[in-house]
Amino acid sequence: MLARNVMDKNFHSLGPGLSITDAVKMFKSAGIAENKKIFGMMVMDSKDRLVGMISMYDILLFIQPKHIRILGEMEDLPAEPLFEGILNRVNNVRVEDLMTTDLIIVGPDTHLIMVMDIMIQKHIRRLPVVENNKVIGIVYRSDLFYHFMETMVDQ
Amino acid sequence: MPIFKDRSVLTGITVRQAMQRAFIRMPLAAPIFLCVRQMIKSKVDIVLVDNDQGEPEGVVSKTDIMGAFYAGLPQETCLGDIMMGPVQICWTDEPIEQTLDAMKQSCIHQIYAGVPSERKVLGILSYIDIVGLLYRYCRQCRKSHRYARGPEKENLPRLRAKEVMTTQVMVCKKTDTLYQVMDILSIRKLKAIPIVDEAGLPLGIISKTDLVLAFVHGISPDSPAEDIMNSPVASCGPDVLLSHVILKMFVTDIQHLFVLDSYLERIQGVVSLSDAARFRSGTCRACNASRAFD
Repeated sequence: MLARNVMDKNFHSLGPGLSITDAVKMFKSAGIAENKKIFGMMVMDSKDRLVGMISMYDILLFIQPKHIRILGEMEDLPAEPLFEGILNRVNNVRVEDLMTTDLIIVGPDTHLIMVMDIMIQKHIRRLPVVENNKVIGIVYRSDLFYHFMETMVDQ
Repeated sequence: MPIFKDRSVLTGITVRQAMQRAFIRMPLAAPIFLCVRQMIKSKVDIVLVDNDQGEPEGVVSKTDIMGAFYAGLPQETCLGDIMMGPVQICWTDEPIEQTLDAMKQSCIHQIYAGVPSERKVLGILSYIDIVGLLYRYCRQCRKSHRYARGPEKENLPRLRAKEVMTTQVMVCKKTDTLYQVMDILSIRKLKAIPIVDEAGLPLGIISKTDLVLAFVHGISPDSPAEDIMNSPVASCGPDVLLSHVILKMFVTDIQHLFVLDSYLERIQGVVSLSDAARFRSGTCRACNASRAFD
């Protein structure tokens, strides 16, 4: 019941200098390669060191209008022509600008109960597993969930 | 009972009711690149800088960071070296019109609100919040175009982009260096500038946001403007309703919309969201704001 038992060793990563547009393409291609939806990825520099994490949520937060509360009150918001250009703002923005840098990581020998506790307390969906300063895997919340549920069903 | 001499849409509203409670504060020792990252993520233009006791010591704006870029400072420079102080704080319970006058006098677009005597900051008020307030107010006004019926609706005068735009628009050439772009932005106190080709047709825009991003991405200030410009230019035709212009700016989070000529080729003028806060005058009956925001 350790992190190494449920972690996914096939993980994908992004470079910090990548543009957001390219990052979104990588999300898609990684999802196809893994045959599951990828909602977040690790960001690694040229020396394979973990420097951050970026999730779809970070990108969504960035493209949503800042004054959304004013718009939220309007039922008759005209849909189409206004939204053109809303995505232009990602042109000059890179992964390193939006990624989270306060990372929480676990070791391969961290107990799964601890992993679960971290995920719940900190609202985290994926946790990098690091050994000797090197990323060796990633624990997804869904994998953790199925691991616990299947153990329960088997009993 | 309070007696108001001049009644306007904003009379009786205090700063507390309009301010945003979320703002970003960082310590004196934080490096510029972290500050830029925080600004981009939270879409803010200014960051409050705290001293070791957690009291506000100064403010760092995108303009200050652009200054550091211009001066060739490293992006690891700490905020304490480039911030402006002391912080101007207004009282959260003062009438909003008084605060607007104070902001106009000090030529600032945003002001921190809190308890000035205790150097405590509780929120931030910007021109855009005021525009938002007017927008919501006027959409509910029964005298507005939205509620008018029949011939009255047709005859109600409504402001269009060409009537409110500023016609003097500064531009930069695509071959100008970022140094030249920053020169014009700081001398003219602009937030963004269109970049044009040899024939004077608009190609893109460079805002202070693009410049602070260029700084942390390690782009040289000698690079040509076309390297970092954002295209296409956010623009509209001259006859577009002002209400539509403002809505577009809210939805796409931009503060300037450039007005093109009727062939949609050349820039004729610019409408800025901060300027829209000027429409605060007028009573409900003869409401300028209503005409502006339907």
